[in-house]
Amino acid sequence: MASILVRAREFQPYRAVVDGLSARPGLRLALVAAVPLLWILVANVAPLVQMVGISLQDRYPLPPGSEPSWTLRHYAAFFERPLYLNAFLRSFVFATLMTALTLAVMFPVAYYLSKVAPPNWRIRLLLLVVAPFWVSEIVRSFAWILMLANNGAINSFLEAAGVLERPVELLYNGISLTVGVLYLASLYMLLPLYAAIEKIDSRLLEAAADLGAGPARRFWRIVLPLSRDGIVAGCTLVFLLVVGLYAMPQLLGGPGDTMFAATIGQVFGRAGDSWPLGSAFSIILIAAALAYVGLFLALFWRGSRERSAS
Amino acid sequence: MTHPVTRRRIIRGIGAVGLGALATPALIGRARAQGGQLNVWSYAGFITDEFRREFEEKTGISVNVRLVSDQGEQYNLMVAEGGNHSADIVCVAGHRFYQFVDAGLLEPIDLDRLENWSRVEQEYADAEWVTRRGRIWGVPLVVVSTGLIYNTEEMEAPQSLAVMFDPENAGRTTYQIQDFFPLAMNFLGYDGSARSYAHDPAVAQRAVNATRDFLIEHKDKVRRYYDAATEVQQMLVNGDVRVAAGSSGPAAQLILDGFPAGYVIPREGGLAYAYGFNIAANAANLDNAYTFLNALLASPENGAAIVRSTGYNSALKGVEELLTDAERSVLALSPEERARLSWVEVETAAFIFDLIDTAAEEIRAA
Amino acid sequence: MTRRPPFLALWFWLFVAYLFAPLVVMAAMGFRDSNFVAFPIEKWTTRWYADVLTDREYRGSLWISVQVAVYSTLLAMAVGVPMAFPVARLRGTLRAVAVAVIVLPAFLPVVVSSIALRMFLGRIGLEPGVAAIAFGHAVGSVPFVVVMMLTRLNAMSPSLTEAARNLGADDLVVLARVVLPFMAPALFGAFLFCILLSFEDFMRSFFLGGFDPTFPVLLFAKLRFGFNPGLAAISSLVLVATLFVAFYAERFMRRRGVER
Repeated sequence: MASILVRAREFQPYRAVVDGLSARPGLRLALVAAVPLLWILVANVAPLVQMVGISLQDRYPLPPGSEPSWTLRHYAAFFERPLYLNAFLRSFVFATLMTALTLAVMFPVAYYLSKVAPPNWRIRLLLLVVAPFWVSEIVRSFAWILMLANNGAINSFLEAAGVLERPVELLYNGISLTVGVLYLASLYMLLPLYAAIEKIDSRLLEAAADLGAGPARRFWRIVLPLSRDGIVAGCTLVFLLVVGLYAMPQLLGGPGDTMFAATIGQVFGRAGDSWPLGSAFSIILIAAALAYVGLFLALFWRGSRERSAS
Repeated sequence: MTHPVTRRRIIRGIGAVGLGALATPALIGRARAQGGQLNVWSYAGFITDEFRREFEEKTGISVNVRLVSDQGEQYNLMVAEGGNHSADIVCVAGHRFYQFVDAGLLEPIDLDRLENWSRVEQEYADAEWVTRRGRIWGVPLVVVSTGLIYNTEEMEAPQSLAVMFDPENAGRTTYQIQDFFPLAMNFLGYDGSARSYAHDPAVAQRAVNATRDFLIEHKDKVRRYYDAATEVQQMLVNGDVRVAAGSSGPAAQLILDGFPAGYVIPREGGLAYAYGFNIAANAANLDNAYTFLNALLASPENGAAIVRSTGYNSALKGVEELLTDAERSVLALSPEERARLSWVEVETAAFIFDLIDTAAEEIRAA
Repeated sequence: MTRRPPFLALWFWLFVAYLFAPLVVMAAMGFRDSNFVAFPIEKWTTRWYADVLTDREYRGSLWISVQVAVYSTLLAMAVGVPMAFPVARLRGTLRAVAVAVIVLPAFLPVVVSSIALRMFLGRIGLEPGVAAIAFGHAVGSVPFVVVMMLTRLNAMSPSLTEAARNLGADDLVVLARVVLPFMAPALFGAFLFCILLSFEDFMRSFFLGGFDPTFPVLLFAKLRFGFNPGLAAISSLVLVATLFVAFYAERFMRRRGVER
């Protein structure tokens, strides 16, 4: 690698390009930004615009030979009936709680992996923890069903051990939902936390310890502030994931645990023509979720700035 | 690290075998071009390997099969394809025909080109739902009924849907809301087929609302609402529920596997519908599609194989004789039970399904 | 030397147990002599494992999934990594807007984004198949790549790159010798995200795929008529195989690192 770079630097055209670029920072920026901008337009914005278009049509797909007509009624449908609002609020509350829980569970795991485990075992342990995610979400859901069912692994074991006389209901309620969603979400918290904690200089912690700071103080004053980029990224990803989860809450939740993403999924599985309604709901979900995460980030950054200022 | 050489050799060996194994199938089932091709969307188990191989050998047409698992999935994908359909044959359930037909996604079946239409049992060939706007839109292969599946070790055969609302079964029942809803309407004395409401939407809405409120009131009886047949099977074998509203296929599969399950059509009736193949609008390989459907109808062996993999009854003549006694007895319904079944009412389906879909969302959210 | 609290190790291994317990149960179910998975397992058989090992459909779909995962990961990294650098330099509202637009595909309910992508690809004339699925997965993965990069880019001091420049390094050298090594854990995390997200995606693969299914698409279709022990068996085999490959690759990389 190094030798290629050294040789490349003696190569005239390469030099010309590199020197030319460093002389014109504007051009350099344009080149660096061009591909991402194009990608965002094509992959992120275009589908969204298309969905906004569909959400404003009265019917879609159009029956052969009819003209499109425009309406806002699919957006109005969301506000007209409290049931959608209920599912919507439930999604946000649930996603927030799950984000907090995932952070609490995964921070020690990430810390162990990046700082405490023997250095040449770290990657191996990371790969071990990531491995279950090679199994399809739906198969993992069924695996949890086998664990938690009335005849499942846990109930069978406890009954055989004489702890229980009849099975306890662990499935299709808040327990199974939490256990299952945490299972899915853990990876999305772990990787950002790992990347962020890994960069904390261990000597800093040692110095603090030498100066008499206890573990709790070291954690609050050094580890937590220095890993905030990872916390922000992990919370954002987990929230994104949980608010959009569809299959697992359906499979592991109870009859009262319908989330808004599942409602949208149901709308798209309907027998009637329902794309406009589904699109309108999706747009509402995106707008609200982005606003929510934006608010969280704003508060977080203001808080951390004040703390570092004090 | 005592035997590094052997271990490495083993790893290499496994790697080579694995790669070789992975590489071969990429050569099979290649591209789809014009001429000599046929593209089929099918449920798993509807086209056996044997039938496919024989068909390809005989006709020189190579068949590309894409497995699908859901009606909504197919509908969404066909619409997203925007008229340029990648499939010649799709797999639509009878009670959803109207949705696909009205969106212009299907091609009517030309009986003059389908010589083997006579292989379809008369009862199903004449069924009302096969026809819309005076044309036939699909070829039924299997017939599904809906009823009650129950654990025979935990309860007697239920005679009425009342068992689903019995306090004794609190937290031990399950159903798919949309499928169960018309039956619950019948149970409460309304018209689940909505035939009598065709010209009176306000009455229909009242009936749906009353049924919805009743189901919400009895939500405590439900362990959970399921979506796919697999889920109801898992809930029964895991002991999570003891009685479920479900369809004949999953029930038959459980019974044939030795699980103590029973299946009955309750007094209040049950619905029947069919799965089969349809031709996609503007199908690129129309001639081949007819050749394929003719061959399929002429092959009771393939019909029997579909029955075995899905647990549904066959809609084709000559299939029943090929089944074992055990299979026949599991699939058979008593004459009284048969009389309780009714086809999904296609003419009113669009209108009543819309009301039911909304009610289902409200029940879930309640 | 800081004290190493045994609590952390215990917590970690409890977490590992939580991750693997259901998978062990699933692997055991693959040996059940029945068409359904459930407790108790009264009769055992190796038939399901033998069946899925020789199943042409499963092998074909796994190969498609591997191809898609590789292509989509390369694409998502190639797009996402350069995208993160300018974003890291932004501040305030502009940054918030940029991040919001970039993470959009991760918020969009996946049914919606799959349908939208399918319509879009139809318009530009890209045939459904491996390339289309890989593109779709990359669209879904780029937000994860960018967010991962931001976990470390914020902390990268500009003085580091400036010092390198002052010592005569040009852009490429700075990138290869200073920036990328510092970013390695984030890059590794982003890479894992891309591979895993692609490998287990169903919805995009279904809408963007042609007649050769990816592994999850095949799994869903099979699941329709009962969860048989074969599905548990093939999933367990995939898990073991990937663990095997991952550890082998890690050992290989470490060996090379030592030799250098």
